[in-house]
This record gives sequence, C-alpha cells and structure tokens, in this order.
Amino acid sequence: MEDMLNILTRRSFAASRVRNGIAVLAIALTAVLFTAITTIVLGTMESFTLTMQMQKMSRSDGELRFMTAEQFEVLRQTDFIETAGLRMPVAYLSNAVRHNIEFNVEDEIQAELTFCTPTHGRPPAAPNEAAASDLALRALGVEPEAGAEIVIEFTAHGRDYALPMVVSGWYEALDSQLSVMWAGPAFREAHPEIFQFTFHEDRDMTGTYFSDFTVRSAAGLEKRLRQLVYDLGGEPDDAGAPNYMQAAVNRVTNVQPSPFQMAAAGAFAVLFALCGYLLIYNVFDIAVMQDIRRFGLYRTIGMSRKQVRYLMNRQALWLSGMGIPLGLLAGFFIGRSTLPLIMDMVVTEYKYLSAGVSPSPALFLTAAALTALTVFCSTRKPVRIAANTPPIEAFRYVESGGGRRASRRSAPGASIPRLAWSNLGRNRRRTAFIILSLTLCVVLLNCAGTAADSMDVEKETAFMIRTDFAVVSAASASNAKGFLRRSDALRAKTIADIAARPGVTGGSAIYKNTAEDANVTYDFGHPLTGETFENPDSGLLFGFDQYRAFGLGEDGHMICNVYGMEEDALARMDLREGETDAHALFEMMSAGGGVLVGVHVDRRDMSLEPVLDLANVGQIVTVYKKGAAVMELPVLAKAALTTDDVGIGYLDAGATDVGGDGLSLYLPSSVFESLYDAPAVYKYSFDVQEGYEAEMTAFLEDYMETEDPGLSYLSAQAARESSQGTQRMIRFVGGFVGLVFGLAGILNLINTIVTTILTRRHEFAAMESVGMTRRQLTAMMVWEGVFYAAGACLLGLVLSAVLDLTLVKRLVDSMWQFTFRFTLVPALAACAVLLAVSAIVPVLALRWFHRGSVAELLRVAE
Amino acid sequence: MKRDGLAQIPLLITSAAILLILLGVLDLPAALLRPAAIGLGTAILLLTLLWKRRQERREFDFANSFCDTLDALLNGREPKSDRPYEDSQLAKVQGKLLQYHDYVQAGQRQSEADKQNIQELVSDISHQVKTPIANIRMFTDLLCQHQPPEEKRAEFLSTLSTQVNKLDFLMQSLIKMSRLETGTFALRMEDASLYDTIAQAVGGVLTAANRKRIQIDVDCASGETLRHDPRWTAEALGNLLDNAVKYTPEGGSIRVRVRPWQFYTRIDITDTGIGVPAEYYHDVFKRFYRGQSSAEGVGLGLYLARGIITRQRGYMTLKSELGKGSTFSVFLLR
Amino acid sequence: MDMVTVCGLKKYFGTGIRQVKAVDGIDISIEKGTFTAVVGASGSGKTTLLNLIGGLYQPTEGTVTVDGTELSTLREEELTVFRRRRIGFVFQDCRLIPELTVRENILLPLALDGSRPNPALFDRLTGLLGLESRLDSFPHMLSGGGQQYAAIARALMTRPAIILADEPTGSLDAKTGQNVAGLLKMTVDVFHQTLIMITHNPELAQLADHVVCLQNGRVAK
Repeated sequence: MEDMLNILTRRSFAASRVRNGIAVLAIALTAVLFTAITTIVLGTMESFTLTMQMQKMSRSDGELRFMTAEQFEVLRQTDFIETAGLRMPVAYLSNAVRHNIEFNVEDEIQAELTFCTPTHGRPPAAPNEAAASDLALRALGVEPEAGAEIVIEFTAHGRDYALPMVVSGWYEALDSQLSVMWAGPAFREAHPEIFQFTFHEDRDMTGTYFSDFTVRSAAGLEKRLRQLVYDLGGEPDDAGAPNYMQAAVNRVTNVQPSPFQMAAAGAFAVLFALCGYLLIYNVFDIAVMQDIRRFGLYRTIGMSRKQVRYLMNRQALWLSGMGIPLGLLAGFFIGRSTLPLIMDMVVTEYKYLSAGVSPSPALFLTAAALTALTVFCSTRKPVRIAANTPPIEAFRYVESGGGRRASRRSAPGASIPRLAWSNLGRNRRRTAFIILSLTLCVVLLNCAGTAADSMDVEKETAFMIRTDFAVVSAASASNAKGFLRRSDALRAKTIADIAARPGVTGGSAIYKNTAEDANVTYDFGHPLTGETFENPDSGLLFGFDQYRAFGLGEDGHMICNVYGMEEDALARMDLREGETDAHALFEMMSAGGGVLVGVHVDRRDMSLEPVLDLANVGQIVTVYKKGAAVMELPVLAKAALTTDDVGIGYLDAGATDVGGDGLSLYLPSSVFESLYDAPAVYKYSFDVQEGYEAEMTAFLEDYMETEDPGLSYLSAQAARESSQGTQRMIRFVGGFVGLVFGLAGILNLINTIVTTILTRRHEFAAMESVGMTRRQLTAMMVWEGVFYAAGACLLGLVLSAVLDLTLVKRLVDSMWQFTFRFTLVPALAACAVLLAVSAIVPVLALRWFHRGSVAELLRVAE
Repeated sequence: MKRDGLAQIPLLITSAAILLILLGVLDLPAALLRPAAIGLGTAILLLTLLWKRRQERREFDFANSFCDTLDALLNGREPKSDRPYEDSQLAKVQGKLLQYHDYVQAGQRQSEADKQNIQELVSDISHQVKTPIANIRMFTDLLCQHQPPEEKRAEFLSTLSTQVNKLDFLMQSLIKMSRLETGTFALRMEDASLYDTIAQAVGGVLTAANRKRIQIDVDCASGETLRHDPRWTAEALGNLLDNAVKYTPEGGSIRVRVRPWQFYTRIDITDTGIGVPAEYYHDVFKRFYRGQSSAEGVGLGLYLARGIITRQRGYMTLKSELGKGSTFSVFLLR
Repeated sequence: MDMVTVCGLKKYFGTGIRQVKAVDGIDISIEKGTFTAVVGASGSGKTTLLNLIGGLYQPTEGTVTVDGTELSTLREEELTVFRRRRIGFVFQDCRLIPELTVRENILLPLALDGSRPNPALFDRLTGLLGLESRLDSFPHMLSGGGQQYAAIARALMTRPAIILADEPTGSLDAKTGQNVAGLLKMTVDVFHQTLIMITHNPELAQLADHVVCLQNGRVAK
C-alpha cells in the first residue's frame, strides 16, 4: 500500500488545477526572468569576449615573448600551462601593398589560438608552404586560393630575402590593416640562418620564441606568470635588461566583470527575485487561505505540522518541477532572441561582432537555482501558516472580516462603488502587495522613460561629429592603430572625388602632424620631469610632468597635436576665449599672427578641463624646426574641443600616440603646409545639402568597395543612430523591468479577484438573492479592481514625480550625454493600461468563475 | 520489501565510495579530480560507518526501553514514560503495549464488576422478596394462631394466594433478570417472522387489554422477517405492551407499528396512557423503577425489555407527551 | 477507572466586555467503556468542552486528564500525536477529505501515525457499518448517512481511547440520525470504547449510560 500522505498530496494537488496552473505560471515567469537575464548576461559576456579576442587576434590566456629555444621547452613542460603555441616572428613583408603582413613561423596550436587556422585548404607542412589571410594574399597580388604561388620579400638580421612560396591554405582576415602569414616549423629547418638567436645582444626579435598559451586555471595567473619568467631566468619588468622577457595576461580572455556590471546583474537578480517572490508568495498565500479549513481538518485528525509542511513542500516541489523547466526553456529562447538586439544596442562600433550564446549547463543551473531559491523563500511563510493552522480554529476561519461589516452597514444607501470600497481592506497584506507591484511598475516605467527622454541624442551626436560627414583612412578609424604615419593619410584623389560630388558644401581637408613629423616641435615653457618612455605604437619618446604625458620631437621639445584647416572648418569650432570671431581669427592666423589652442572639456558641463588647459591667451608658443626656432606664435584664442576636433567619432588614438597630452594647436592650412615637410591629410569633413545625405552615404559605400578600400567614414546619421541605440536600450531595459512588475501586479490582481469571487460566492449569492443583478455584481467587482489600480496609479505618479526629480535627475546629471527632462507621460500611459486591465480582469473572472443559478450558488457555499 | 530496499542503501553507498576511492587511487584523467575523488569517497565511507553505528545504538536503546516497559508491566508497576505521545517509534510501541495491557485488565475488571453486580442483585432481590414473605408469614401466623372466623379465613387465604402469586411472578422476573444480568442466557438468533413474534407478545396481554376495553392495533407486514431471538424478543415486547396496558386508562388504544429502516427495524409501541415527563426518560428503564402514580408491578418489565433488546445489538428509546401517551421505540439490527 | 477526568475546567474566549465564558467551571469524570451524552442548549459550552477533552483547545483554567495523561503537559506536536492515537472525532458535518476514497479516509489517521492497518479490524468495522461495497467510492458519491458511517469508521480505526462525537446526527434527517446514533452506540459497545456524544435530541440521549446536562458553561443539576 502506497504511503497515504503521498496519495493525499497527489490527489489534493490534482484537485486544484486552476490554482496549480497559476502557480506554475508564476514559477515559470520567475524562471523566465532569471534565465533571460542569465542568458543575456552570459551571452553578452561571451560575445564581447569573442569579439575582443578577434580584435586582439588571440584567444589565449596569455603570451610570453623573447624566449630562447630552451626556455620555450621549459614553458611547454610547465604544469599550469595547458597548451602553448609556437611563434617565431620573422619580419613584416616588404612587398605587400596597403596591408601589413606579419610573417611568422608557427605551429598549429598557435594558429588556432590566433584565429589563423586555414578555413580553406590545409595548414602549411612543406618548407615552402605558407598560410595567409585573404587580405594578405590580395595585397601580394594573388586571389586567395590554395596552391597559389607567391613571392615573399623581407629583411631579417640585416639580410634581404625573396622566397617563392606556395599557399597551402587561407583564412578570413580579422583586421583590414594587419594580418598574419605563417609557415610551419619546416621553414625554420630549411632556413636556420634566419633564426639565429641574437636578442640578448642586438634586440632583434627574429630568432626568438613567442608563445600564446592557455592555462588550466586563470586564478592568480599574473603572479604565476611573473614567477615563471624568473624561473626561466628572464626579467619581466625592465625592458632594457638583456634578458628581458615580455609576459602578458590576455585581459580580453580573462575578462573580469567590473564591479558595476556585477552590481547591475545582482540588482536585476534581486529585482526579479522580489518580483518572483511577490508572485509566488501571493499564489501560495491565497492557496493556503482557500484551504485553511482543510488544513484544520488535517490537523484535527492528527496530521503533525511536519506532515503538513511535507505535503506543502512536496506540492511546491512538483509545481517547481513543472514551472522551472518551462521557464528555463522559454527564458532561454527569449534571452537568445533578444541578445542580438541588446548587443546591437550596447555596441554599435564593433564591426566583427558575433552575438550568440550556447545553452550551457551553467546558465540553466544558475537560473534554476535562483528560481528554486525564490520559490523556497516565497513559500516559507504560507507553508508555516498552513502547518500552524490550529486544528479547530480553522473551521471558523473567515478572511479577516470583523469590523468591516459594521462600516458597510453604516454606508447609507450603499452605492456599488461604496460596497466595492468596503471590500478592499479584507486582506491588508495582499492589498499592499498588489498596490506595491503595480506602483513599482508605474515608477520603473516612468524612471526609465525619463532617463531615455533625457538622453540628449543631439548633444551626443554634436560631440561626435560637427559636420554631416567625415572621411578618414581606415587606419585612422581603427581603435588599435589610429592616424600615426603619413601612410595613414587620405589620398588627394579621394578628397577630390568627394569634393566633386553634388551637394557637398563647407568641405575642408584637415591636416595633422604624424609621428614622422618629429622635426617640428613646440615649446611654451612647460616643465617636464626628464623621465622618458618610448611609445610602442608611434616609436616616439614621451616625456612627463606630474599628470600628463607628452610626445617629444627630435630636439626634445613637444611635438603636440597640430591641425591645419580651412576657414569653413575653423568656423565650426567652439571658440571660447580670446578672439572668438572665426573669420578675424583665421585672418590673423593666416598672417602668421598666432595660433588657436584647443582644450578638452569636462563633458558633464562642457567647461574647459583645467588639467589639460596648459596655455593662456597671449602666451607665446615657440615653433622649432630641426632644432631651430622658426616662429613665435602668441595664443590668440581658446576653443572647447569635442572628439571630432581631435579624432573621428570617439576615436583619437592617433592624437594620443603622437602629441599625447600636449597642446592641440590649430593653424590655417597655408601655415601648416609651410611648416611641415610633407603635410598629411588626416580627415576630410564636409556638409551636404539637404536631401543629399543618402546619396552621399551610398557614394561613399560604393567608393570604399571599388576605389579605395582603405577608407572609412562617419556620418552624423550614424552617430545619431548609435546614440539612439543607447536610448532604445534604456527604454527597452526599463520597459522590460517595468513590464515584469506590471505583469506581476496584474497576476496578483487576477489572483485576488478570483479568490474574492471563490471565497465570497455565498455572499454574492445572498446579494443576488436580495436583488443585486449580475450587472451590478460585475460593476462592484470592476470597481474593486479599479480601486486597486487607482491606488497604485496615484502612488505611482507621486513616487514617479518624486524619484524623477531626485534620483533620476541626479543620475542623469552625472552623465554628459543626458539633459534632464521631467516627464510623467510613461507613468500616465502605464496607469491608463493598468486601469483598463484592472477593469477587464473582474469581468472575465466573473464570467469564468461565477456561473450557475443563485440557488446552485447558495448550495455550493453551504 | 521496502525495508529490504532500505537496507541495501548503506551497502550501495559503501560500494560507491570504495569505487570512488579506487578510481581516485588507480586512474583518473584530470589530476585535480584525483584527490577530490579519494577525499569524497573516504568522507562518504566514514559517514556511512558513523550512520550505521548510530543506527545500531538506536536499535539497542529501543530494545532496552521496550524491555523496561515490559518489566514494569510484569511487576505490576505503572510503566513510566516521560513523553507518552512523542512522535517516535518507541512511544508508539509503548502506547500499543499499554493498550494491550489495558485490554487484558479490562477482562479482570469486568469480572469484578460482574461480581459486584450480582451482590447488588442479591440485595435488591432480598429487598423485593422481603415484603411478600413478611405478608405471607403474617397471614399464616394469623391463620395458625388466631383461628379466625370462616369468612375472615377465606379472605386471608385469598390474600395469601395473591401474595404467593406475586412472589411467584417476582421470582420468575428475578430469574430472568439474573440470567440477563450475569449473561447466562443464550440468545438463539434466527431468521424468523417478526409478525409472529409480535402476535405472540400481543397474545399475552390480550385478556388484560380486553378487560380494560383497550384496543390494540398492529401495523406489520406479515412477511416481515428479521434475524432475532423470537422467544426473548416476544418477552421484551410483551413487557412493553404490558406496561402500555397498565398505564393506559380504560377505553384507550395501543398501536404497534413496524417500519424497516436501512440498518434497523423500528417497532413503535404507542399508547394513549398517562405519559412520562422528559426528565424521567432515562429513569424508566432502571431496575425497580416505578412511576410515582402506580403501585402495581415491580419495576422490572422495562428494564428487562431493554436488556433483551441491547443483547441483540438493538436499542430502545422513549418519546412521550404527558397525559397524551408514550411511544416506546425498539430498534432491532437488520 | 476513569478514562476522562475534568477538573475545574474553564475556557474563556476574548477579553474584557466581549469575553465569552464558554466553559465556566466543570468537574466531571467519565468511566472507561461508557457512553456519555452531553446535552444542553446552544451556547451552553458543549462543543467547547468536547474540544477541550480532545486537546483542540488549551483550557483557560483547570485540567483535563485523559487516560492518565494530563493534556496541559503535552507539547503541541504531542497533542497532535495524542489526537491521532487516542481520540476519534465524529463531527456534525462529517469532514471527510474529498480527494481520498472512503478506504483511504478511514486509514488516513493510521497512516499519519506511520502504522499499518489491522485488516481484521478494518473488515469488521466496515462490515458492521455497511461500507464494504463503497470503500473505493469518493465521499461525494455517498449519502450524508454513508459519509457519517465512514467518519465513524475513521474514528474507530485507530482503536482510540475515546470517541468524541459532536452532534453526529445534527445534519441528518431523523431516520438516518437514528441509524447513525444506533450504529455509533453499537460499534462502541462492540469495541468497548468510551464515547462522549453531544446531542440536541433527548431521544438519542436515552442511549447513553450517563447524561451530562450543561447550562451556561456549567453542569446543570
């Protein structure tokens, strides 16, 4: 004979199907929330990581450089290293056009870790075989194809080589500027003279061993890696030491979620847990309330508290068993389908973005555990209430009525709303729950709405780009490279082609000094510490003062970031101090009478950043060329800079690597041309006439495709869209959370209304028997629902207003892209929806749950 | 079956633990897993051993406590149990044991109660017999010593005869009662016609009823059969009818009505007599109870009737309205 | 020997002006194996007394001793165990559990105690109460009387020390009421159990060995 308690548990479970349905729904919804958030968080992290790894062109855990063969062997045997790739850099090929090709000897592990495994063809094996990216092969003048024959030219240990090679396979390049060609170890055997190890003497890295590796556990990797370098007899810190060995942890792979991200995820989890708690608690609370007589009976015939708890817990377990998998599945698909949308909103500037998430056990386990925890927490109280039901009291249990009756009697000529009103307080806690979740819905929607509304798209767009279009070379548009050398300049033909297009107005080529213009320097009497450092990207020496780094020229003066432009471009700048009339300023500067200094701003209030405000109006800047002072230019005016004035979009990598924090100097093109030996055009910015935007975009896209692949552009339209993406995300996330709470509130409302109908059947029947029509009854319930919603709306509106003006305002004010705009429109819209739903729910509920004749109903209630 | 299954669990766990340890010692691919496997296996093994030890101690304690209780009962002491209603196996077994003890004791108490009952009966009987015997002695004395005149003697002799009759009636009733009381009477349950039984009972009171011009109506289907003892049931019904005749004034009526119910067959005997006040409902069935107004009878009829019906797993109730009559209902199990 | 001893028992509900003295000083003792009827007007404290004896209430004052155990010494969980082992309840509305069959309802208290049913007792009990053919029906398929028989079987199945019946015939028609009361008495006789029954019906009170009449929370005499 089966255990009776289990039979009872099962049967009483099976008996309440509607309630179980609601409970499963509630649990499933909670699981959906948790799964969706976990999917999105994990997916975003996964996608981000992969994207970043691709940008960095390595998915390893770390890298060691400049090893000898023996050291490399030791590395391979080190126990915390899982796999170690072999990479021996040879040189950059000298016969490639417009694409940098790094030629290495690698093994397949290394290739795999750096996204260089051939996707077409096979890895190189023979000494004369090599694999390369499609872009590299094109740059060498052949179509990407296995078996293609190429000649590679390079210089190693001071000797020039030109070797014929056969392409064994190729893969898609991850970067338009740089890619890797690699040969197998057989190549090394065939050309031992290339791979002489001379690093300790002459710092020639050809012949040294590099290795990208993966580890078993990333915990404390940094420390262990340094220890390893010491153990190998290397020196990790001092770049000048002969036994210098560079060791780096790949921060892209071993990405640590920032405290902010973790806090945000935690906050969401707590929010969802709260929402789930509200829901599940309510469902169970109502279930227990409805069954309180039954629990009393169980207790009377001798069921112990433990047994009641067992019964309840078992049912909760079953409900979770149904709800959680349902929710996990639904949540995963919801999460996965919203992931690209969210990724799209989070990142607009990455090109090789890959969004995706795999259904990992960790994901489901986390979500399931969180849901289970929520179910557990939210059923504690109802289960306790059920278990503690006093045996006999339960028979007399009526939902806390008491004083209510008196007040009803005192309502003269009781109107329907009056009757409804008097019913509200029957269960204070539940009333509070419903109003709380509905209020939260209204408030959250409004806060998100306000934040999104306050997102100042035009302000951000204007900061990113002052003109309709800006064109630069692809290198300048790369965050990793930036405008560094003259070879990164825009071609004159491109500028001419664009300028010739119809509708182009106010076009101006913007010159900028490069790392190769180290012979023109500036001095304005700023003291440096004398300490120097070689910038690895530009190869320039950098000097320092207390806070800032400055690119230094050949004569030790600062190179600064110097721009040359036409009057049209100058007129667009934000002149703040000194001569603020652009035309007059341009005239004076053209005559060699001075210079315009640009100062970065504090984005929050757009004031000049004092830390970078190094020169005053009137101060003299001395210009040196090849060590000799050629000009003395007084500072005529100061301009507030946006990123458009120094870079493109938000990217100003070139300026950072050339002038550093040195002055941003703006000169007329004529002066610039006279000063620099080979003036390079950094950017061409221009407006187009109304209606030509789309046409220009199409032209540029086509031009990049056919004429000049090394071109990149930014349009005001794209900048605006990127900004709007952020706005959309705020709306989406806030709306989503608000919606969840709204849903929770409405589910609670449904629950309460249904319970009211079920528990008050007798009362209703009595009312109907004394002449209340069905219509009046419905009206009464509708009023009741509306009262809940109205209470929530009122509270929500007040709270929204208060929170808007305090919390949201402060939050928004702290971010420069925002301009606080007070609004209650989202709250009002939410209120309207809530009121409508709260009026409809009772009608439907009565239709479904309150059927049959009066006599029947009276009998049921007996 | 279930128990056996449970007994296998430690064995299973133990084997699993040993397997884990072996796996850990012999070969596991990942180096980190190895100590974990050994550790986990050892922990499980230790826990299982501890658990087993605890289980054994529990069994031991259980047996000891149980024996203590038994010893206490054997020595006639109240077994001491500090928490008789604890939700534990021990408390349960002890409770059952006490229940059994009680049951055995109940028999002993029953025979004591019977003994006492018989003593009461003897004293009751001697009390009841006293008056007629005293009367008889008085009249015999009168007849023997005073040589009364002829007409007086005839009167004495007739009184004497009445007293002897009364004594005889009393004795017969007392015999029946004593058999009833001591349980020495054997019921002969048979499927018999209820109609016949009622007819027999009515036949016994017909003369007396005719004398008082009391009409007796019987409403019973002739085919009504019931599992009962016809002789004793007729006796009980006869007593009830006798009682009815006794308390019904001349020209009244008595109605006997039989209604078959789900579990019981109900026999109502309704008279138009003086009735019984509600507060005496319970008393009329007591031994030697007599209504205040009547001198007739010894107050054993209703008592006997109830005894007979109860022995047959039936029961009797009375409903009455003062001055209008009473209804005695007999419920016999179908 | 007394099965139930009630000593100076008081039970008040509420406080202050609205205080109700449901039981206000009752002393009774009930012998083992007897049938006691408790009668009295509505509100005279009958049900409260019964619930006090059944350990459903804690007395305000006084003691209840059942089968040698004073109830106030028991903890909440022990009271539960006490109820399921020693007390059989039969209520006016029979309160069977709707999701369980008649058989399961009868066996539930035993199952809750973790005991195995005694098949002989079960058969005898259900036979006496005429339930054999309806053991696998659900309560709602039975008539009011049938449900009450099942409740009686449930109360007796654990071989409790006392059966507490609170107007077991109250919601039944006169005929079924008589049947139920008769069966209750009979089964109690057969199994030598102690029965305390509340009733409004003086006819049924006659079945009892003793009648206790309550008035305003005290024994009327």
